[in-house]
Amino acid sequence: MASFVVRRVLATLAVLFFASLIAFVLLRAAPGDPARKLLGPQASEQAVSALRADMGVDRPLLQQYGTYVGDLATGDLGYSWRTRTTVTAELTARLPATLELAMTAMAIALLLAIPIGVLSAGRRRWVDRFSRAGAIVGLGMPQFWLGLVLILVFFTWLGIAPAPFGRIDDTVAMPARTTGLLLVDSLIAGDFAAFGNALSHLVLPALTLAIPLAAYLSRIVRRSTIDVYRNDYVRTARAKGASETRVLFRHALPNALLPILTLSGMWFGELMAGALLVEAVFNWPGIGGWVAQSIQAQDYAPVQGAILLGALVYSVVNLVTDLLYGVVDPRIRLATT
Amino acid sequence: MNRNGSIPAVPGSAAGAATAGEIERDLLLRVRGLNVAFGPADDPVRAVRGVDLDVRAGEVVALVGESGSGKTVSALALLGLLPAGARVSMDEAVLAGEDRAAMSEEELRLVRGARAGTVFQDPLSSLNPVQRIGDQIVEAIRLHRRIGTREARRLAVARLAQVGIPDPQRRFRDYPHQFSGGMRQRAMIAMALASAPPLLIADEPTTALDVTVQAQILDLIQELQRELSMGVLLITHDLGVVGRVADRVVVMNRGEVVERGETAQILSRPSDPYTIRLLESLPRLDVAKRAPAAAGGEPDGAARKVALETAGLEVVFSRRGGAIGRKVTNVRAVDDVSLTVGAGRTLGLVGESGCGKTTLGRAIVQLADATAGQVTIGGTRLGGERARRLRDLRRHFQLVFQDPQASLDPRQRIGRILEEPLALHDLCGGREQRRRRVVELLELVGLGTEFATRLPHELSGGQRQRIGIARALALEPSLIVLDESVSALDVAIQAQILALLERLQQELGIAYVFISHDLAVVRQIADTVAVMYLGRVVESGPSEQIYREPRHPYTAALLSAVPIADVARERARERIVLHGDPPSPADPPSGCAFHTRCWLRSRLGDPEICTTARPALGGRADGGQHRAACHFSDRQAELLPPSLLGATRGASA
Repeated sequence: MASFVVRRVLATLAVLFFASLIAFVLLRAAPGDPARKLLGPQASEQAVSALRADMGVDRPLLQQYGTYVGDLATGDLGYSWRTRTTVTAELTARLPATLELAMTAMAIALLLAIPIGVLSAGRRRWVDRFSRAGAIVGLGMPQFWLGLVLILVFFTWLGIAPAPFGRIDDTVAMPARTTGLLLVDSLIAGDFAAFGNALSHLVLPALTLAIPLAAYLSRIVRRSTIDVYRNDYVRTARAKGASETRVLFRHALPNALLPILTLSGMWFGELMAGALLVEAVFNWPGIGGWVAQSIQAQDYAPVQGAILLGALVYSVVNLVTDLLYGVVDPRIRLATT
Repeated sequence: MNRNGSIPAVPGSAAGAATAGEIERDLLLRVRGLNVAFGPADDPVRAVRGVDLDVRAGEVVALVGESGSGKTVSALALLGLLPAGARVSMDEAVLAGEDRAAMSEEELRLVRGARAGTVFQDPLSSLNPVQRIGDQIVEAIRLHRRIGTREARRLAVARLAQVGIPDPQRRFRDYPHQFSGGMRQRAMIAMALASAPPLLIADEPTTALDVTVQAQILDLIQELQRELSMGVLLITHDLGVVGRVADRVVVMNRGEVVERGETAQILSRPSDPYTIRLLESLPRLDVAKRAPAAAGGEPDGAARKVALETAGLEVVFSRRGGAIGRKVTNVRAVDDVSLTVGAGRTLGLVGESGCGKTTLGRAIVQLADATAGQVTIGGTRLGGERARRLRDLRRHFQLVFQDPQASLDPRQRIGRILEEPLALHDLCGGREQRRRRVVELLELVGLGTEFATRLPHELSGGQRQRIGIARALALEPSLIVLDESVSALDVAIQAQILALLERLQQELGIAYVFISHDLAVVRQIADTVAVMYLGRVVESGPSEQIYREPRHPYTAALLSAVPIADVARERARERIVLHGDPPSPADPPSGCAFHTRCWLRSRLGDPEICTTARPALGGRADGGQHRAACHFSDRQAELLPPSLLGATRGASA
């Protein structure tokens, strides 16, 4: 087990190294001058070249890369010239918002997909027809459009959702920051008003992210459940005298959900990427909008930081799912012993 | 509807003995007029038609038939375990001593497990892979008894001990994949017996197991059945198993009961033509291969052409483990194997699963890389060829697989499948010629021309295996390796395929390496036999000598474990019981690898040499072909139970 983790951490470091290299090269291969972008077309050539020197982009590429890697090694992700803050500061402020959104979306997707998938695998045919139709619609809708529709229905028409601006109302005091996740922080602080308000802000964007994923996962759960029910051990459980409820919860589901675990890990990265558009629709103060603007401004450091972060999140989530797989599936946990 | 009229009245049949309404005390299972149909109501598949069955306390009733005869479906129908869509009807039924017809779904569920235990065929797939063995038994106990977890655990451990699981306290916490096949089936039985049910339904409980393990499990079932005076309904296709354990037999064919009666009577004097055919096609331990047609004054021994020769063949699989792959585990799957097969002759390769016989077969046809030694086929030394040259050479040696279904591309028509090797090797010039050759091949394996346009799924298992053989024949090889190629087939079909193989051998002079776990089948087809244990050949020689006078204790134990379909001889036999499972090939015992399970060694008072020196495969003083790797092979004959060899010498003695 320990050796497995060590190997995976080494692999993650390699992934991070290549991700940093690719990010660095791709950004600099793009045409345009970041200093000119920042100062605008009216600025004098002199001012631009002064800024170029400040930013260090006038130096040879290899040297720039050396500085970049050297800084990385000390934990310095660089400086955003557009916002005039360090990338670390921006990420600390914004990442929790995106993570909270993605994790909530994942939870909602699983909560929707598992019961729907299991029910569609059952004998009632109409459930399956409905859920299949729902899945096609859910997968077919563009996310930004889905977000707009949800806003239209729940905010504009029904008025039960808060205005799509940010994570919490200005009138509500932010809970003291410990994790940066508002739901967690407000619970730690015992501030239920803040919790409710943050939750109400979170529901629509999280749903927007969750619905297509739930549509996809529900079909996988259905297939997986049907396959598991064909296994001999389900017949054994029935032959022991287990009730259908028991067969489902004790014998079928634990086996049927194994593939979902892998898929959830893989899709968490997709959720982070999908957050880019959804955050724009809901004015969510996450990393999505910030990265998009940085790309336009050719602000190298934040984009490189975000790419690295993406690679890191992806590696960590996959490591966690692999470890979890070992926990839930004894065949993997005990394979090497 | 009652089809009793069509069943020949047989003495000993319980049909018509009971009066309706009241249930006799020792009657555990009774059904009259059981019908099961699947599929659309207007065009149903009638899987079971008017079946009557009785099982009483303390008796073992075997329900026998080939695949698709409806024997398993009948049992599942009685237990209410058929999938939705099956339509079940019965005139009268008693399950575990209670009126089945009056039960609600819920009552039937509670009878399952509590009053009727079930053991299924494949113990690996029948156990939940993510639950501990012990917890699965605890569940079976607590579903029917209101007792605490601790008490249930104690009972479960006791059950595991009862079915002969060593160290049950510790094994309780294991998962199914950590058990060997035999131990899994023991755990299944422990689970079925969790609530001490009066009725046990065992569906092919030993079919997936090796003969030595099968013998252990059959002994266990019989022992428990006597101890608990259970009634057992044993579903099986194996008439040898029937001969060993059953009191009464019910024979099914195409959903109907064709014959029933006392085991001894059915096996020795069957009256129904189907039963007669079934018994006739059964391969027997005591009937040898017909002597090969002696080609006019053929010189014996050295002058005969050699089709295959292996010398010191070795296949070692290495697996890397540890943090950075430093730890290397070597598994010697095939270890120093030297064999010779004459042209047009058959070598039978036998041994328990995991003994390396399949790997050896694959190494012979160059599908597994030998790590040492050589393979010579038809005078050509193989090994180290470039891919291209090897591909050309492949036409001389072919492989037929066990599962004919999985080894045929489901989307290719039979004609295409047979043409492909011809085209690849550029054998028959034009398309037209290839077509003609396909027709020829189909006729050779006894199939009509019309099969060329069919798809694999339209064929039966036996027909598919014929295609597998035809494909191997297409290139006119001098050697075919048959890896368990008849194991998945019913006995009647198996007999046909064996006859086909023999005919082809005589017509075309092909040599076979026939790999099988079934010693009776090997007896029927092989001229010479090699017995493998943990990657090494422990005994080899002419088939006749090996079956009549085995010189290695392992061979004797294997022969002793095969049940035969002759009640008198089977039950009079003294048996050698091998305990436990074969050791792991990754960590074989020192000295003679068999010493951990050797009965001969314990009878000789555990001599030291067995654990220190590895015996060589040596011949007898008379210099015959019969060799055995045992320090005491000359002393075995005197210690061998005489009744054991009665089964293998039998009629031909």
